[in-house]
Amino acid sequence: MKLSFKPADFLFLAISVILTALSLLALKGSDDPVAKAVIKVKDTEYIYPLNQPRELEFTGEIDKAHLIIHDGCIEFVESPCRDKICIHMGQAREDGDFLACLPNRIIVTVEGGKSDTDN
Amino acid sequence: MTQTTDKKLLPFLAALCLFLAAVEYAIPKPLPFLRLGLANLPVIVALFVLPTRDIYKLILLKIIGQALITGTLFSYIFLFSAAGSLASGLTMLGVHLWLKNRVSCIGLSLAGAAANNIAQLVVAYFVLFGDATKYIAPILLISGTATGLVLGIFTQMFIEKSKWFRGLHA
Repeated sequence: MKLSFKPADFLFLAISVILTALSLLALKGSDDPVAKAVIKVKDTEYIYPLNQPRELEFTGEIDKAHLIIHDGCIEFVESPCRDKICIHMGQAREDGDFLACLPNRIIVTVEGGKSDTDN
Repeated sequence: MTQTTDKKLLPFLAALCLFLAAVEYAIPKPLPFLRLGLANLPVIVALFVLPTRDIYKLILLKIIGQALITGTLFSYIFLFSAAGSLASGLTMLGVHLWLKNRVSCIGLSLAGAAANNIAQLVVAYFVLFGDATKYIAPILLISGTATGLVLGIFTQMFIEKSKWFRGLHA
């Protein structure tokens, strides 16, 4: 038997297809997200994208620490801790990289970026 | 349509929702929210034969009936099905009142499926998945468009062929 499609049916078919396409685009966009630094200072989390240069200052357990974001990476530049291990750890730029200053209770992890964070 | 038919029709369609929900429940599904949406068939049919007031009642009865059949009445899954049924029911009603004869069951079903999925994704975002919702969105929308289209075509064929329906509509 013939099916009597009506004009508005195609409108809703188009809307459904567009919505589906948008959801796929949103997913595709998330495959190459900007790497972000998740900075945990004592019990508070701060998140900054690594693609914008920035100078940061956080007051940790001991005192103020100074971090900078530049050229897609983040690093400690000044820290009140004794051994300065956090500064010596250098730069973190890829998914999974981390920096830690245990005495001052500041922990930085990088999330997203080139690596596939999906699975 | 006589008064008596009117009075019997709402419980009949609600019972049909219940029955179709049971049929649907018996079909295995890969993910809890991937569904055929069979129980929406009586709601689409109702748009053509019930007064608006009774359609609201049917939507509510469908939500409760479905939850009873699937045993999800007091679980968080109920939030998903209730939000989905409410959104799709009200959208289909709105589209039907707005476009009247310019839209067939196919368009109604597609609009309902889209509304259902958007509502479920919103609930999923706030209740369960957060940002991970974007990973289930395409699956839900693709399958929803497909099942919405199939159910719409089926319903359209049904109301064009059914003598029972013609009797009601006359």
